[in-house]
Amino acid sequence: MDALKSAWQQLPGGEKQPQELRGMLQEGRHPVLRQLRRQVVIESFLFSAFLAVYYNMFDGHRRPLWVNALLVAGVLLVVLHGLMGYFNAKRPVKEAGLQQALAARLRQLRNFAGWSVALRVLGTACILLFFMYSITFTMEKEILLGWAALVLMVQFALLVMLWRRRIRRLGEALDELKG
Amino acid sequence: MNETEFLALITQHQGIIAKICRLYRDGKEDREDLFQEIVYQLWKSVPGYKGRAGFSTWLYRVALTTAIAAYRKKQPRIVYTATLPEQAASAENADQEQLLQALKRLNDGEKALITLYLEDLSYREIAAITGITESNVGVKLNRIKQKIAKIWTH
Repeated sequence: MDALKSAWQQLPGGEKQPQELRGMLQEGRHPVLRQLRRQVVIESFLFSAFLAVYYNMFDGHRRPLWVNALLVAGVLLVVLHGLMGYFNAKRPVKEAGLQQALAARLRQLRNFAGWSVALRVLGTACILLFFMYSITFTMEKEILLGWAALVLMVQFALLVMLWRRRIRRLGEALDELKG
Repeated sequence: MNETEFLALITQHQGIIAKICRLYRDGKEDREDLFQEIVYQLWKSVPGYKGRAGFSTWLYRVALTTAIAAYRKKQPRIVYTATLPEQAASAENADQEQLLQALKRLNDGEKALITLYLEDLSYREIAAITGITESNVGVKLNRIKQKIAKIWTH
């Protein structure tokens, strides 16, 4: 073990200059936050543009108010989902020990995963309902809708699997420390 | 702690962060990303640092939490090269490369404990950082050492 310790302690360390380290304190340089922020900005811009034109372009005026409200709610839910992810990734480490900090992260991750899936499903359901309202269904349209539903279900299943994998991995690390 | 003081401490302790990144991530780009995430997370967590524990104790805790809990990209694609990794590394330092390969085969929790042990911290310090009891630290480290010895001999 002494040989291991010696090899470990001789591993080359970081050689970053204070200026480079100072840049890392900026949120814009954070690899995950930068990506999430870009996603939120793009989604917000595109959905705002969509909300500005949908009323005339997709016959919003021919649908009842509650259907229009559902569409707006659906769009807002998708944007809210992005924002929640962004703020969740920003949370600082507060707990006293590694085990407690990981347990707190696991709770936050489970909580956020639930919200993530629920917001995506609800948001998509609201948007779909808007477009399906007042459609006269024919066989072709039903088949098309069936395929769309299938694609969405696969997407949701993948989202659930992704979260489950992350939660399982973190849970395992915590168990390894505890057990 | 102001930004200048914080940066001076990070400059001094950046070797620890670099080693943790090497242990928890494979690709160079992933290691750089993790390094940035750790430094950012440390800065954001400064208000919670009361100074009761030493700076390095606090740094280990935040850095290891970030390394384990942060989002990871998919595992990098395996690239087959003409030279074996062991041979390629021999020019640099075969012992270090062999050590890293053995440590990378441990799970995330074990990696955290062995990192602290290899940094020459006492069982009491390791217990304070990890939040598990001193006796539990001893039991777990013995198991990990046996596991490494097994990997080493194969």
